[in-house]
Amino acid sequence: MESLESTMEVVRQKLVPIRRTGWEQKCILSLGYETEEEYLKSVIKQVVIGNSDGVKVSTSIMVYGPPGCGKSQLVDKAVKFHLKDHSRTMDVVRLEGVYCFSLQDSVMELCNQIVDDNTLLDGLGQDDTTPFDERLEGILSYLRNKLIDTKKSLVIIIDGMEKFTDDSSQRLLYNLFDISANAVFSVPICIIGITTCVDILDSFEKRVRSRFSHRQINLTPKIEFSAYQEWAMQLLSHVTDKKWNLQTKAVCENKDVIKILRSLFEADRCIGQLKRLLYTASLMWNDVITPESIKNAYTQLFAMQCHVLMAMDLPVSELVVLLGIYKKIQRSQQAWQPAEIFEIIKKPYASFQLRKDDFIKTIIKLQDVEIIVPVGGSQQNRCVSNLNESYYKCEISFVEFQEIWKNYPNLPSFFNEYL
Amino acid sequence: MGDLSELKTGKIRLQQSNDRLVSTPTKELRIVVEKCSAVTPVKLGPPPQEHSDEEQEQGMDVESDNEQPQEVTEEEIPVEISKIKQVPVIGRISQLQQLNTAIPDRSVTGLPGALFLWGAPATGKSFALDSVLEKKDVHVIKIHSSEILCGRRAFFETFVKQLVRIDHKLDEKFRCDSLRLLYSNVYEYLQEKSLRVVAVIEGAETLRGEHDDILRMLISLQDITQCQICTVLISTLPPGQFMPNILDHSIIPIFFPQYTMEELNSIIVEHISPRCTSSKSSNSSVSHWDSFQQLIDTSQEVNLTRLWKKLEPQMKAQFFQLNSSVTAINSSSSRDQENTHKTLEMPMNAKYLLIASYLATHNPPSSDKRFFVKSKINKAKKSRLTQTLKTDTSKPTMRSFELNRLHAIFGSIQLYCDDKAMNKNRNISFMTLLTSLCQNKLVQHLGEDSWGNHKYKCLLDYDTVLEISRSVNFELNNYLHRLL
Repeated sequence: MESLESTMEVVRQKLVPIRRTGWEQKCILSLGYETEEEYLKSVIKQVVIGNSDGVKVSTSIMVYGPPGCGKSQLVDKAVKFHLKDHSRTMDVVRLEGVYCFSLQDSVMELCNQIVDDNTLLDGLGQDDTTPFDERLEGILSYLRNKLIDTKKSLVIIIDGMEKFTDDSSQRLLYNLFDISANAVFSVPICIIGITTCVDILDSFEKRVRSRFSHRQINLTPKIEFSAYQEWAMQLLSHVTDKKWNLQTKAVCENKDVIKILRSLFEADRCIGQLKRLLYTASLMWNDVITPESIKNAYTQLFAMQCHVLMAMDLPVSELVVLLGIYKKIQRSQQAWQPAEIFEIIKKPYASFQLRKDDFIKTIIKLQDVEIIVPVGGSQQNRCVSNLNESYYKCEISFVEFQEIWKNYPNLPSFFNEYL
Repeated sequence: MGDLSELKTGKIRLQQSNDRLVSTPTKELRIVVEKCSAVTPVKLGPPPQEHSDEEQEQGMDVESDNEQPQEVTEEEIPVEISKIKQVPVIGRISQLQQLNTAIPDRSVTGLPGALFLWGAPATGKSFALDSVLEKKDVHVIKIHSSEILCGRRAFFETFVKQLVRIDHKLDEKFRCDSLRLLYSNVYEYLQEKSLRVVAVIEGAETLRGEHDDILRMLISLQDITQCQICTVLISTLPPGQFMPNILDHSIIPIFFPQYTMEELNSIIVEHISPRCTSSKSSNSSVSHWDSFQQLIDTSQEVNLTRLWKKLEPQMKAQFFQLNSSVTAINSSSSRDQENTHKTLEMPMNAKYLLIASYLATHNPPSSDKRFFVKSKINKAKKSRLTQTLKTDTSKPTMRSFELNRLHAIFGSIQLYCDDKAMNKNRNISFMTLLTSLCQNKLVQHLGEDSWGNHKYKCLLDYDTVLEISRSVNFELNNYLHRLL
């Protein structure tokens, strides 16, 4: 029993949906990017080791592809390949678009990763009362000197490159290019941009665009369904446990599972989405891997009708208001005012001994859960007094309404008369 | 013909439970009654030490309180609150399994980057998560998204302070006002300590829109730090209502549906606590629990239909009170005793909101941080100026306030009072409650300013609010700027 649990745990660990597995961990399966990987390694090699003449040449490259296709994984793998042998002659800096989307943040993060002396950094950065723009030149020259002193090649990975397209961030990029191409004291720098945005180069100024335009890697998966199935098998399999692997094979060959994998494959061929599906399924395993867990995971992730589920959780008094909205939508697709809905449901609403005050509160509740949204207004415009003046639209589609009427438990009999 | 009794909270549910009870005559009902009687003697009240402190602080005011007849108020509702956390989570088997597996024990490494728990209010999302987390060897950060209303810096600093709370190693110069600093603080600490951290963000829907970047950062914390940190977002809205690309490839959604009839029955039988966090009722809805119990005791009815007929009027009244949230009063400014009593019939959360609106009306916005920022709320200056009360209250300054400010103050008061009372019933519809207060002319909507922000004003006077604040054990005088 313990070995089964440990097997499941090992397999689950492979499936944890993390964007990159870290420097120490190995890639668990082949994603078919061997050519791209070799190319990327050769690009980095020019900076770290040098070209055929032994001269270190600064360069830059853009890696793009859909979310979850393995961009960060590929870059990490290639950088790690060189870092293993040349850790003394190269530095790696990683800037994340998630938190470095201002020039100040980017520069400070760059300094923070390159310079270990925090006190010096404090003096340059936060505590200084001079505006940052005026200090930028000083900081960059300090950075340049520091890089020259260290005599190391620098690999800068910019993840989420689309966040660096504003003017100030481009200024940083250009300054880095300037440092790398300076005739007097050049520092070999490799800038690797990672992005999901295919047309990102159009957002850059010419002087930045030209640095990337000739080196790009497109990682859009171009695989067949059989290979996709093989990924699923590999992800679910265990290195030594043959019994487990037999079960896995049986599950992967199940008709329903194949159908699910096929529909996911048609929608998104990236490994990230597949890992997410299988990880969610793994959370539902009891003692054994089952096709049902994969089916349930698929429903939970992709096939859940959220509005229907939310409506099913509403009490009948609020469902009556939805009935009024449904009738209104049936007549016309236009936006409506709460007063119009109240006119429609006046009779059934009164039979619940509810008044207009309660109706207004119900409207606010439905607005809170965003089943209805004001037309042309923001969230700030939720207000008690202007309800009757506002126009609303319903987020539940006609088909979803049908689903609600069909599945709501113990729907009062008068609903059928209205429907 | 629809009737109140056909409502989901009324007859439809109860009829079904009747059916069940008929098949097993009164067994479950008896269990309920027995458990009720077992719990009844336990009375909650302030600890003796605290009471004496209050006496010292409030002087004459407290004495007059003591002379008042002991009314059965909501604070005295018999309940074994300390055991709430120990009771089992009912009806969330699949969700518990997923949470238990996703957050493994210490021996096994590997937390998922982010989980997303969603479902209607009061469906046990936080309760289930808490019950899982308390058994795991993980460091828990818990922060409510509405704290962002105090500013991004306060939000980030609360996050980091909760992370490093064991060590207290933050120096006086500690500052965290950007996402980069949040990242570097979290990264450095986790690299040093190699902790396993679960960061719980409640009410995640508040962070949408203007604070999407924070949401994105929190979800990506594990990715970018490569440390064992898992972010759990809790929301009443489905993932689809969030910005695309935020909840796309790394987050695992777990849905909490509404309880079924059988699950609700089990909750009533197992938990019995009137303030049980898993029930959909507000505090006011359980204030008549004793009277229900007495009816059941005295009626000695074997016929459940007859028993239901006896219970129905009270339950009907109860439903209306629950639905309308606030008992109407005719004149808000009137100080007569009757009206005060009516005001005290309000649910706890309505009282908090009234206090919040009063403070927002009478305090300058600049004083909010001093009174309500989380780290300082327990250190609010004790009232030393009770003697000057009469002179100062004669010249109050009225200010209009915005919705966001009210929300922030309300959140702080709710957290403070609920922690004090060990109450966890924080599932409310803020706007619905505010609407009720406006309809009952306790709060006035003043219109909107040129930026589209709606302005409000509290219409209650000092004495009434003081009475309300005493009923929830909130020291109003300590939070009034003009008294400091």
